[in-house]
Amino acid sequence: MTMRIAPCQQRYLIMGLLTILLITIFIAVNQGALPLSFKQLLALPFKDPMWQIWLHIRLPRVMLAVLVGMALATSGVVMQGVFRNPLADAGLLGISSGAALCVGLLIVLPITLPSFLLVYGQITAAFIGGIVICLIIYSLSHTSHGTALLLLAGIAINAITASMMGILSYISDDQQLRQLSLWSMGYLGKGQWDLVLIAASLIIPALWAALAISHRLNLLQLGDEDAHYLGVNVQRTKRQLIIITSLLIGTSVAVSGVISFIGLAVPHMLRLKIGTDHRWLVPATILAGGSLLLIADTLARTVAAPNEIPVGLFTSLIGGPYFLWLILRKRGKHLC
Amino acid sequence: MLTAIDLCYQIGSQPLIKQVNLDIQPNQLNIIIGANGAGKSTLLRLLTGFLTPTQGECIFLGKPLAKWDQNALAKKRTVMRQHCQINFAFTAKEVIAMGRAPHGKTYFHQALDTVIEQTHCQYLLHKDYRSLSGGEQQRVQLARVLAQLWQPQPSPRLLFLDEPTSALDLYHQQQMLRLLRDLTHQQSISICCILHDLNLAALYADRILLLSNGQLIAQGSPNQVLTQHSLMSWYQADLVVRSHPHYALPQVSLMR
Repeated sequence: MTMRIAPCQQRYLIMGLLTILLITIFIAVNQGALPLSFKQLLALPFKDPMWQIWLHIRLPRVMLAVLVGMALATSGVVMQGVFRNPLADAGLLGISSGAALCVGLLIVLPITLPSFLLVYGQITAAFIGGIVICLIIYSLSHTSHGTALLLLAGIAINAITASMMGILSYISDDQQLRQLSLWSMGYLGKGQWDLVLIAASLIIPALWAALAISHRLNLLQLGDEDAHYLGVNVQRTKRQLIIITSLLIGTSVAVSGVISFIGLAVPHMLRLKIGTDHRWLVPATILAGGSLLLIADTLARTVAAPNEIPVGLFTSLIGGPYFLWLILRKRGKHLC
Repeated sequence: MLTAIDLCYQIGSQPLIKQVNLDIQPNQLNIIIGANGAGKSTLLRLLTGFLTPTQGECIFLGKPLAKWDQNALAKKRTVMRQHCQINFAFTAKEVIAMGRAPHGKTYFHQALDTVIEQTHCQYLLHKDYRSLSGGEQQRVQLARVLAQLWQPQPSPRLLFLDEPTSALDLYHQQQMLRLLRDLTHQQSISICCILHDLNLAALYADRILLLSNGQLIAQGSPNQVLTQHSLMSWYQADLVVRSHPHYALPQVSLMR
C-alpha cells in the first residue's frame, strides 16, 4: 500500500501515461529493420520510397500495436471486475484460445470467403469463440465464487482448445500450417491500414463503452446484491461487460493472434499505483496497455533485426517471469 | 410506509415465507427476530425488492415495489447486509463514497462528512477495506448505506439491516443502536433490522417482529412479544425473562 499515490494525484498519473504513450509512438515509428529518423524523412520528397515505407508499413503497424495493446489490457481490467477476481485473464481462462480456435477453424476448414470479408469473418469467428467461453466461465463463477474453480475451468478449456488446435494443424496443408502457427504466436506484422481501420472501428467503441461503464464496475465489487441495492441493473451491466470484453478479445485475436499477459499484468501493476477505482483504473489501463504492447512489438522487431520475434512469444517471455516474481514477493498478502 | 400484503415465497415446492402481512410505520425502529432458518433474511430480501414474491406484493410509499425505478428506489431504500466481501484494494473512503452513486454529485461532500462523523469512521478512511477488522468493516458499510440515504431535508426513507452488530464489541453495539434510534426519531428514516441479540432488540426496538418457520408469529412492543412463554416455545431454549433494572423492558437470560 505504501507505493500507492495520493487520491488527488490520479489525474497526473493519467497525463503521465498519455505522455509516455505519445513518446513511445514517436520513438517506435522511427525504429525497425530500416531506421528512419524524422530528420531524414523531412529532407526527402514525399514521393520517396522511404516515405512510403514509413506511411504504409511502419505507421499502421505501430497503430495496430497500440490498439491491440489497449484492447487486451482493457479486456483484462473489465474481466477482473466482472469476476471480482484479480486472476481473471483472457489467456488464463481460455477465452483467447477459444477465440483462436474459431479463427483456426476458419483458416483450415474449406470455407471460402471473399477477401474483403475475410477479416470480418475472422473477427466474427473470434468474437463468437470468445463470448461462448466467456459465458461458460461466467455460469461457472455464478455457482461458486472460488478462484480455484475459475482457474481449473480455464485450464480445462485451454487443454481442450489446445488439442483441437493440434488436430487442426495436423489436418492442415503446409501453407495453412505456417499461417496457423505464426498467427497463434501473436504477430502484428499484418498491420495494413485497412486492417487497422477495421480493428479501430470495433476496438475504439468498445473502449469508449468500457470507460462509460467504469463507475458501475466499482459498484459491482460490493457483490451482486449490494450493487442491486445501489440501483445497478446487475444482470444487464454484466451482459454489457461480457460483450465488451468478447469484442475486445475477439478483435485482437483475429488481427494479431494470441498475445498473453498484457491483460493480466497491466491492470495489476496499475492497481498497485492508483487503487481500484475503475474511473481512473480503466483510462490508465487503456493508455498503459497501448504503450506496453507497442514497446514489446518494437523490441520484437528490432532486437533480432532484420528478423522478427513474434510479439506474443515476447510478451510471455517477459510477462511470465514478471508475474511469477510478483506472486512470490506478495506471498501471503493480498495479490492486488 | 412499506406494506407487505400476503407475502409468500417458495423455491420449488418448499415454502420459505408463508402469508406474511406487515406494515412498517414511519419513524419506527422495527426489529425482526427468530430462530436460525426462520426465514428472516429471505423476508428481508422480499421487503427490499431483491426477491420477487411468488404471491402477494409490497407497497412502498404508495407504489408497488416492482414498479419503482431502480435508481429512484435506491435513493429512498437501502440495505446493509451481514457481510460484504471486496476482493480488490479499495480504501474505506472509496467504499463509503459508493453509497452516493444513485445521487450523482449532489451533496457529495456534505453527505460523506456527515455519515463519517456519525459512524466514527474518520481514522479508517485511508485504510484498505480488506485490512479492517470485521467490526470496522461493518461500520464502514453502515457509513456507506447512510451516505446512500442522506438528504439535506428529512424525508421518508427506509433502511434495512441484516445483523449489523454481529462483529461489533459492546461499545460499538451501543453506538450503532443509539445511532439507529436517533435516525428514526430525528431524521424520519424508518428502520427494519434483523438482530439475534434479544436483549439489544428489547432495549432499542419500537416494534419487534417474531418470525418462525416462514410465518410472522407475533408483532408488537418488546413487552408484548418477548414473553417467557412465547420465547421458550419458539426458540425451544431454556430461558427466563426478567425486567431490565433501569427500564420497564424485558431482558432474556439463558438457563444453564
